[in-house]
Amino acid sequence: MISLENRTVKFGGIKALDGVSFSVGAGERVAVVGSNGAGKTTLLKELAKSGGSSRVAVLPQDIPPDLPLEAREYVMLGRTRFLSPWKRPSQEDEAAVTRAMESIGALDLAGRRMDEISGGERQRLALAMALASEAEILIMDEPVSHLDLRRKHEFYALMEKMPVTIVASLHELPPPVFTRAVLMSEGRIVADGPLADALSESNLVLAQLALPIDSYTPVGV
Amino acid sequence: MSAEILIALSALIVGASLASAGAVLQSVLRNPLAEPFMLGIVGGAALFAATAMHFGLGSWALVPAFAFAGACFSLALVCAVALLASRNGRAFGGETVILAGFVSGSFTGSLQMVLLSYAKPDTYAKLSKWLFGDLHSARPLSLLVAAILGTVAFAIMYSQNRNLNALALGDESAASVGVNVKRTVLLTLGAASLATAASVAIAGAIGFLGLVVPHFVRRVFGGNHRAYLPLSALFGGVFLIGADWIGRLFPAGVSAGVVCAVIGSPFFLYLLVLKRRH
Repeated sequence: MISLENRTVKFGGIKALDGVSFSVGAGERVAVVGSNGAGKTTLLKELAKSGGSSRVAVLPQDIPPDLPLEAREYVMLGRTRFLSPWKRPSQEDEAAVTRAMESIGALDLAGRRMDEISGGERQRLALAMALASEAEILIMDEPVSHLDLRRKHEFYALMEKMPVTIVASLHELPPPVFTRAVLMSEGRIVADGPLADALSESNLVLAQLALPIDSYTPVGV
Repeated sequence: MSAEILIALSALIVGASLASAGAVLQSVLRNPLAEPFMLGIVGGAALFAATAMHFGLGSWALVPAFAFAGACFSLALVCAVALLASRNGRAFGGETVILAGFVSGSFTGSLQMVLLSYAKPDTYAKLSKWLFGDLHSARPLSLLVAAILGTVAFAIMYSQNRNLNALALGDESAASVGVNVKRTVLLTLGAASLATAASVAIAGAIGFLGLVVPHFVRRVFGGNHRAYLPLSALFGGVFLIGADWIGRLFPAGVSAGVVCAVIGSPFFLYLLVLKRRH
């Protein structure tokens, strides 16, 4: 559905991606996990660029807290490719926005200004914006890093109901809503597979997300 | 045509051009402090236009052309400096680009003073008044040219209203919903330079209007560019007519540019505090 073939990306001599091959199939929910600088963001950017025939939506990474748009106008941004600068949005555009807002349970927010609502609500509306674009694949770079525990789980629950393919980078171990985990370290993929297999102890050590067991020093010895 | 009508028309064209240019600059650079004067665009346009006038090239067509060249040159210079000074790819959101613009504006301002020192006494008075933002010296033909250029610039900006809205999503996300980010940025920055040049050609250097008016419009009417751009232009024109009227209340008469600066500079400082506290 979307794939990279032996992709290398350098920033000033440092390889952010080092010969990575990666593909995502329809309906998968893939979590990209790794420490800071492992290449997660670069991988997502490259994926977004190589959309091919599938329509990709990139979830905005941060929504300006002072954005002077109404929630409905914000979701309408997802329809930008269909809109004319000289005409009002068509009925089809309006219907798509309503559907997207309904699916995240945010119809009641429609007339509220983006700078008046909470961070969790803004993040849900970003999801609605991406859905309104009729994308088949959603790419999200650390979508939950600003959310508290409750909002985070609400966001994951919403994700599970979305009829789209999802690739998201995370700063934490992925919850079971993901069907597949990709572990990255120093620009390479070090493990890739169903959650239970990819997140094994040895893989986590390999991705520098956990210390080897014997390196812990028991307290008081 | 009576002098009063000419002045009002000048104020409308200049105010509308500067306010819409300010609105676009704030959206494209994602910087609430961006504005044609603070970014040094007005200064560059004024220097080039004053040079043309000094060498006797002050015709209706050449002054705006020189002003446009100066505006583009200054904006490109300031953006290049901001890009070179940034490491994390967020070159334009911070204070660096404003600082670069301010220094570039001071530099072109100094060169204007050098130019003035070579001027003959009669042109000295005219040129120095114009450099401080004067609505009272425009002739019908140069006004017509500025009106056409300003309208073209506004049409280009307005044609990008959907894309300008989507730029708030960030570059990657905006591209994914169908915006050609590079094209939108270049088109709108070019149009903002053209609008600035049109206003400088008839009224010299007027600052801060492009800051105050878009902020007011955005606060009251929202930031959807479909309404935000035309309303900024409208209120920009009205604001400058008001500024000119206030200026005339003083015994010796104060130019509209000075009134704008007196109102606008404290507002800039207020926004700076607000921005840093976010």
